[in-house]
Amino acid sequence: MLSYFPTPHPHEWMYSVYCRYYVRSGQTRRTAIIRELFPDRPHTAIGSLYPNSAILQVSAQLPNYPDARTLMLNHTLFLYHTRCFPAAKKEALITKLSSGTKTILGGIYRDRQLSAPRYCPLCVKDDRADYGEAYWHIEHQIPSMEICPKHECRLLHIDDIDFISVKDTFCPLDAQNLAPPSSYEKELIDKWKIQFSKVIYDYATLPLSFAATPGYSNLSIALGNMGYAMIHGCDIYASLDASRLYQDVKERYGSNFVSKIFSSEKAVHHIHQVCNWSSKIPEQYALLQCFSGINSSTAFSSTRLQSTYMADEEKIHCYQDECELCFSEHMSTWLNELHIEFLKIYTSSTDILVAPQDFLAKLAGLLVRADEEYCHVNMPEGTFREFISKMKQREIQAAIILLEQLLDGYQPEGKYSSYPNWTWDTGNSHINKYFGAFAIKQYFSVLANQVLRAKTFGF
Amino acid sequence: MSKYPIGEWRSSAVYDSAYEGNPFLAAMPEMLSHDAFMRAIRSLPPLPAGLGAMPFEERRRHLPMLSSLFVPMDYNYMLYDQLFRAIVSTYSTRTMLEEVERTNALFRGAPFSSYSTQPATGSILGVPGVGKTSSIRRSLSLLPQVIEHEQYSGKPFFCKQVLYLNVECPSDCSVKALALNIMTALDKAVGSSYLKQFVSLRSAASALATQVKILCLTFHVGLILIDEIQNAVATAEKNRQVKPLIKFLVELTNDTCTSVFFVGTPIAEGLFTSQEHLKRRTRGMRLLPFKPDGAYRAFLQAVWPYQFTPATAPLTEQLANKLYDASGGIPAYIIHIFQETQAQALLQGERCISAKAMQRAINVLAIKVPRTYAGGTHISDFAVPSEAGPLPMEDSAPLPPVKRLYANKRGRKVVQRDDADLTMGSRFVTPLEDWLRERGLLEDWPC
Repeated sequence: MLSYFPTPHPHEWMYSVYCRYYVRSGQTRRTAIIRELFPDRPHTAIGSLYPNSAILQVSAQLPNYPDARTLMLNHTLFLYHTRCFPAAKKEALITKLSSGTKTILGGIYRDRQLSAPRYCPLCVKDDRADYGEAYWHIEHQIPSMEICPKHECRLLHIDDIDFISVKDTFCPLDAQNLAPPSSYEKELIDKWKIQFSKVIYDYATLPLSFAATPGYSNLSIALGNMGYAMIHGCDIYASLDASRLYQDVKERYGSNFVSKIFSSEKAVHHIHQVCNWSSKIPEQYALLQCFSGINSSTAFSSTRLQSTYMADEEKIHCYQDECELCFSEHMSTWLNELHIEFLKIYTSSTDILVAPQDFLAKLAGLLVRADEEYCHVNMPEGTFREFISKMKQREIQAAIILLEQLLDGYQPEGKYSSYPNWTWDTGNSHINKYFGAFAIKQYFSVLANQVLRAKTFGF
Repeated sequence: MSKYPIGEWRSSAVYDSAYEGNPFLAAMPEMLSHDAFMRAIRSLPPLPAGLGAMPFEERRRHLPMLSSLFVPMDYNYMLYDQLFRAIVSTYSTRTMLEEVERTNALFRGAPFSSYSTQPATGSILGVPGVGKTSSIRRSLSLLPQVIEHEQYSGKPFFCKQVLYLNVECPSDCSVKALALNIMTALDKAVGSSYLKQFVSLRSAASALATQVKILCLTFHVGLILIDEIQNAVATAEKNRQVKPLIKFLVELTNDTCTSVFFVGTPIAEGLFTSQEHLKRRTRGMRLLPFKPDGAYRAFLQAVWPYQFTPATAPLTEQLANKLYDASGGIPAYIIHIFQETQAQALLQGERCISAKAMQRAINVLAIKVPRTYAGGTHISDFAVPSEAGPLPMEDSAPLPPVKRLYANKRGRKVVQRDDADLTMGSRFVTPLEDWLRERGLLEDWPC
């Protein structure tokens, strides 16, 4: 049992708390402190930005202290890196980490790392006035945060202190030779950079409940409302004109900055990932959120944004008339009907969940039938075959189910036609339960993606 | 109902709402009233059961019980009050914020400027055996030594508040030894193992001194008592080692705002007054033994029933005066002689103590007490009104005269001498030469 332990300051990096323990111990030998804090673990990574077992070991030696969960949530980058995970997933993760059943926070994007810890000279001044000492802030260690969200000034680093040295040595910020805040001249910083830092700060500090909202993305809707939506009437994650969006984002924030966050080659793909919550890079969400102008509470709100794009019929027509897609009348009608009908299917039907055993034979038959049935909707010959040939087995299964439903269930006398009040299933389409919905999504994503569409549909 | 159970050296913090914002002051125990204090520190245990039927050998075996007697006196309460206020002054002087700033300044080795006033510092000197150490120990035992904090104002606040540390001044007077003594006391109080860590490091004295200062802040030490400070004098005379130690203690007070009290015999007074800055920081009680007055008699009345002889001797003028003459009014000697008197009586098979037995005891113990003291206050002269009522004001009606029970005058009677007796000459103000000349006792020889 430890005799004392410093109370973590707001948004303090856990490493900084260890450093303050070191200062108060009066010890000069770091190994003695490591032994005290982490018995039997001389090589503990004290400078980690992520939850680790070191926190568990310390909290186990403290009575009625902030428990490991609280320390992990508030003094590591857990909240930031899992900001765009669904709440249930986050909850499961933090429970496992804080109970010790999981030791490393996996499944997060860690490619970009800072070389040295950073601090804000004006936070140092404020913290000394408020708490009597300066400390390392956890949010300042986020790689893409270059500006202090509070003081809107550039973050600094200290020569000789890097992330390698903080791994196993104590470098208390207050004990460093910092330039006096009075000598710091505030430079003029772009407003958007400040805004971006503030959004990043929100991601690191908002409560755990502000999470991904499976089934819809307010960010996606907001971007769609800005005119980047591509398919009207689509009730799932809005499909966006990602290419155009990427160009506009680049124009506003500059290629250099944007390419750090969205790699040029995969930018469109990443934007789609952001729109359906499958991206693991919080900076990507933050940048698009800055672009959209919505605040973080709205982006992660459990209340869905109203899609103005869908509500405005005239706009739809206008868009359709003006947009580069130029669906034929038949194609538009067909897509609309497809969408409306599928709203109904996937909420009640259970038999669609099972993929047919002889799916390859069925696929061959279906492709022929699809071509025959839909030849009049201005689809080039071999559209479905081409479409499906680009897909992997799982996608093929999905397509089969989709088409089977379309062809069999939606005939005038089809079995689904009589089901009243069906609604679109907005569940997570990647799990088997919503396999049918996944099939539709795949289909629509191909339609919405310019490159894929050109490849598969020829337009 | 007291805030913390008396006698428990470690307690969980209970906060007073009156000191919001200062958890250390808010967690301080209440200061006891005079009567409550007297009740709490008194130690007058009952005589062993079946004493009447005990053989003489067994009665002698019980005699050491006399050493556990503690008769509370008013000076004890004044001492308690002084120490309590010293602890409070530490927590009043330095705020939580300042504590953090001081810790970091010490860690950086940077100077720390503060406008806060200095905490209480002082000294308690007294003739050996007057009861300094036991009074201090008993007074401090009424306070929990360690108050454990876990939460304050709904926020985690995990630390230990050490109200006092009692350390002995090292015989070699070295800063390192004193620093290690403080660490030992701290380890004992909070259950840490700093001594082991620091000893293994073989740190330099200056580094240790800094570390002790930081630890005093980390554990919010309220008062450091340096006992046997007279050790410093002996060393000072030998090798002039005392300066670094005193400098360290002054720095400790200034850098950490921790109250420091020195405890020792009056020998240390010379050291304290040798330098003005030290003199200012070492003022305090100078305890002298009992005067042969009512307080002395009250003390005897309290211990007199503790007679392990078959019969109880009454407290006579003769015995009281004899005991005073031999003990010089020093409580430790009084008890010692009283105990040895009983031992002598029992050894000789006497049924109760007597003047003869007491004389034998005095001879055996060979106690020699000083007759004069440089200065101070006799422990008889402290007076604190009890809860029964305040002391009368000076201008109120005079009290009826109380018979002062002074001992017999000692020494030869003044001999009536002739006016021309040479020994009388020294008593005159006029020069001796003039005085001799006037009386024709001086013969001038031509050069």
